[in-house]
Amino acid sequence: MRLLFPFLTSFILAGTAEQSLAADPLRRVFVANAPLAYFVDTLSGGSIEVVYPVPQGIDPAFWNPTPEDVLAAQGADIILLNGAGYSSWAKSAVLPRGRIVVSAAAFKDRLIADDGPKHQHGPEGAHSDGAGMAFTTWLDPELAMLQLEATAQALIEKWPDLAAGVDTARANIESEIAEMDTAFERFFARTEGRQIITSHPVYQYLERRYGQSPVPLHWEPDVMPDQREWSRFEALLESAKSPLLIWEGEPDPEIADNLDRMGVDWLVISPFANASNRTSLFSQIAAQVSAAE
Amino acid sequence: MSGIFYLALRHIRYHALRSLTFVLVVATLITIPLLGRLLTHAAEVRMLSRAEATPLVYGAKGSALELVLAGAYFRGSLEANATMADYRWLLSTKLAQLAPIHWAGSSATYPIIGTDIEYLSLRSLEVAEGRKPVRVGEVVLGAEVATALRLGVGDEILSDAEQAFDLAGAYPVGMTVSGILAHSNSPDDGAILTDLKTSWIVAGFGHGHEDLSTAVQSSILKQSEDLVTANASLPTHIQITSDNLDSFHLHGSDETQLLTAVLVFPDDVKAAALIQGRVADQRLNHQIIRPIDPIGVLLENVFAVKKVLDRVIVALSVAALFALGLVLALSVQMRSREFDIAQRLGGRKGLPALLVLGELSLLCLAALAVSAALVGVVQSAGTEVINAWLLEVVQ
Repeated sequence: MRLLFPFLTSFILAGTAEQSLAADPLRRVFVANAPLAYFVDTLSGGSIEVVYPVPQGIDPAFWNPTPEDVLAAQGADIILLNGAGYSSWAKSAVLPRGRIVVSAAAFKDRLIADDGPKHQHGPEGAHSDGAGMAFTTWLDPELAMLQLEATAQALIEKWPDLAAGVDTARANIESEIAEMDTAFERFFARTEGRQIITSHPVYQYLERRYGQSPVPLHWEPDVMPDQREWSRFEALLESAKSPLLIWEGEPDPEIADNLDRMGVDWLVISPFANASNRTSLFSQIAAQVSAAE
Repeated sequence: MSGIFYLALRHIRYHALRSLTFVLVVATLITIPLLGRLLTHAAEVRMLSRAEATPLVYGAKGSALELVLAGAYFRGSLEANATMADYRWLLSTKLAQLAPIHWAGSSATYPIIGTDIEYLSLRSLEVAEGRKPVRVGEVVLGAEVATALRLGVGDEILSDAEQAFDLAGAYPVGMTVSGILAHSNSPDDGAILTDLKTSWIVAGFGHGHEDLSTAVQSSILKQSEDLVTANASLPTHIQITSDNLDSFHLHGSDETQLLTAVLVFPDDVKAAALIQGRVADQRLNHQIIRPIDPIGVLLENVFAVKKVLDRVIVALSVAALFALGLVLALSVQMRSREFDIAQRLGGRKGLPALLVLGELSLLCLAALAVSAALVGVVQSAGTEVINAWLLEVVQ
């Protein structure tokens, strides 16, 4: 059964990023994903040029910048990264260290490990080559608040004249995040007792925040799962109580038809990692959750 | 008067070898003090300008001069004893812009310097060809390095093997030239600049290898659910390319990676004083110094030696002038018959003296020309070499 209406998807994709005509080209902030772009845009009242070169249709977490993109980052006053292993490209990119702000730096101890193999050589012991962390941090309202705080601090520190405007805008974004929190609480209260399945393991922080233990798949919304995957899914459904499948993006109609035929409830909760319309981004997340009621 | 110079010129040409010797001796007497003054002045200007352009240098306690020479002039053999934790600490003071320096090794004897991309703007270095490095494995070459090694944008450059017979030592690492810096008349002209991550790989603090989860079984010593241990047969990449970039990683945490020095560019005089005070209070195993101080002392010592040399040169010059005077006197004596004949032919009474003076004038003019040419050649090409030699000498 389809719980999310197509207008939401078009709402997400149709708009353009809010850009103020008053953006000062001498003040540039390079951002790693749409939520951070939204923070900077809104906190600065559009007075800062936001450099966000990730093309539509690409997950910013796995985006690979061109040399020109990295040069653009090098030219920014602040390079605002998400942290938690997001933007793996930054590991091998040449960036000015003093201008990097990691929005998740304040809650390093609260990050969720995304298990991957480690290796060992020499006396240094085991170490991982990177990634290894769940990174959709802003879906946990508490962590989103901390990321907002880090962004606001970085902007005020760099441009003290923005302080008053940043404080006002921050209060508005905090209201939006609280709205998202309420929407998620109501959603999970309503779905209590149901087996939640996720199309991808990207909701770890959301799950922890609301005490959920979903079963993750590795399905892409635009790639039809093969027969073996469907068989596994059917086996999973046999033991699942009233299953509910959460997609991170609108699945292809063919996949949706299959799920409907199987009588599986599904909905889309997009993390909005690369939303083109960043107006009231957290209200949009809340809206898509509320729309599933 | 033209007749006097004609006769003088004929005499000089007739005694060409003797005249040439005279010219060379006089030219040497003029050139040596001039060159000494020129080179020491050039060295002073060059070294002082670099010291003035580097407000503060932070590093491990020890010789201040060695720290400055390594961090600001890329000279010497200072071990990397500071760490990225020091850099982060300095960054946290928010009192200055920073350029960490890690001397990774060399390529064809030119130093490979790992730094932050901020270094280029702090030093006002322009990329004349190509672009700045954007990923690990890319370097920009100083103008002098590019010319000497005949390298251009897109070419590969290999680090020197530091320990040719050390089987456990770091492999030479191949890097790509992304750009060439405009000439800056500074030590950056003779440096290969890259990001710290690249320099740490060059120094052997990191490496690349194949994905262990897909490695051939013969390379695996033991494997558990969350740990794979490989043996030494695992191939180590020596060329950093965009394809194998992700396999490169560093041993240990970012905070423990080594630095040779950190160049500190305080926001203002007050910030400089604050940061010096905090280092003195909180970083007991480290020092922060104004390069102008040890470089000033160094130049004072160099000039003290030069003063002694100047006195030696003056003494030698006086002796040489006496010798020349003696030769001249003997020459006049030997030419007494020639002068007598000139008198009998109706020459003026002072003709011999005029002839000698004319010859001397022409020979001295020639010596001045030779001296000017020598000074010009050294000034255009030689001061850099001499300065480099000077730095080597003082270390």
